[in-house]
Amino acid sequence: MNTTVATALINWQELWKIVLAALVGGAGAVIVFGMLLLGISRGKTATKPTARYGLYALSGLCGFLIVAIAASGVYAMTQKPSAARPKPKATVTHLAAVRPRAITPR
Amino acid sequence: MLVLVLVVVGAFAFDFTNGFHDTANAVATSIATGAMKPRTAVLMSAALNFAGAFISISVAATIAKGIVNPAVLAGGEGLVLVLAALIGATLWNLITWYLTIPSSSSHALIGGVIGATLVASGSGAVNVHKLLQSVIVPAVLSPFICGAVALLGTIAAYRLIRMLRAGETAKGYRLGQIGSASLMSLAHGTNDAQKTMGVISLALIAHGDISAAHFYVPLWVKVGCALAIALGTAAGGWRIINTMGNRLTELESPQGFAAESTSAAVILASSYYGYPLSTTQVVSGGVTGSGLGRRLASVHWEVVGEMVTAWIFTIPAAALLAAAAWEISGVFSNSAAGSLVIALIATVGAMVLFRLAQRSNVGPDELDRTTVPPEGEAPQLGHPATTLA
Repeated sequence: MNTTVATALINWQELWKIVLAALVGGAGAVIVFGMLLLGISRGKTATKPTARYGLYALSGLCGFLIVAIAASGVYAMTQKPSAARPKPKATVTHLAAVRPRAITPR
Repeated sequence: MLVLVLVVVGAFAFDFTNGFHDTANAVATSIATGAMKPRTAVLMSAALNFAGAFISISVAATIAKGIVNPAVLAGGEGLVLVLAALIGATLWNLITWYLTIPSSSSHALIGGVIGATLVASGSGAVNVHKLLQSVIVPAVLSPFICGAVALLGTIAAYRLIRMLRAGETAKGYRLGQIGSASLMSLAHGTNDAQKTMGVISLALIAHGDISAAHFYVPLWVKVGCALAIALGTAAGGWRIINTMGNRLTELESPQGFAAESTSAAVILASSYYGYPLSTTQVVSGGVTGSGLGRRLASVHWEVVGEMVTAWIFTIPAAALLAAAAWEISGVFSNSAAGSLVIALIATVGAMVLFRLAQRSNVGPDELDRTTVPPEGEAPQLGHPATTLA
């Protein structure tokens, strides 16, 4: 019975997706950004041109990934579930149609 | 008409307090690590909050969706109930601001609606299961999720940092923090301004100014809400910025970046799946997690305890304040006079809190760390005298 209650209160599938997004967008972004800085730093001190360009390219790739993560975040803002469903209209119609009987008269 | 005007003004006031209460969520870590000057940070955040309010065209036209019976929010007395809810939420925002404790404006609004609904219509009008499912459970889980991920990110960041020079690290991550703070500000504007748009739109429908069949949000409502939250953000909320950025833990720029990035990811992912979270609670969890992630860093657990206490009390306290407002209005038969009386009482209460806060003021100049070299450690700013016992 406890398991049933817990399942109803928590959508484990969506929770897992949120944790995954947090790992990629959060910890992932921190790691990628760190590698970007590392690539730039090591590139400055690299003696061989090929090594320098390789490290700068790595930094560029990491920078691209960071921008992609940020762009995904902005995209997610514009794609909220309520944008797709007509729920606000339906709910509003219901509000207008119902009289305030629920309020306890004094 | 008077009640409608009071509801609209009350909604804008709530949005304003939401702005300065939540400024810290986006910029506190950036200010604490010296990534940005305090005034620059809040102005940037204000501008992005304003822009964020227009990003998503969907509006949540219900307050406490599914938690309270929508019938109680309809009609003339429904307007008074909404006003009582707004008063409860706004006053709780101001109380926690005075006590320098970050708390959830969203939960305060939900608490306000629940409180007023309970006294107006009884417990049958509140869906407890939905409250648990949509509000309580996510509120409990989200800080832990964000904290755990921020902890991992911070550990990983410091492993990489060992290969960098200290100055390079701090400078680089300070730049990164500007980006993460910008994203957080945009996300906050998208999420929070819409709540107030929904409240006002609901009031306009109840008053008959907007047709329910052809629902839309008037432009003046969008602009007004965007402006209110932006102005609130620009006002600074320095007291809470100090708590979030300095009193929880000693932050370095990689930690700040980890905390903000993780928080933004959790909030945006949750919103995408339909779970609007408290940005305050998520960011607090992220800051705490990143504090634990750095070796020798210490988290000030007494401050964490204060915050958690405030979080637990937010819904009941806002509910009590809203219930009191409803009861006072009821003395005047929930008429326009009653609404005016509770609005005046709330205004006096707000002025008292502002006045008391002046005694232990925190300003942007005290929080400025941009002059501290990246390698240096800045002394921590002590918190104002007034705090929870």
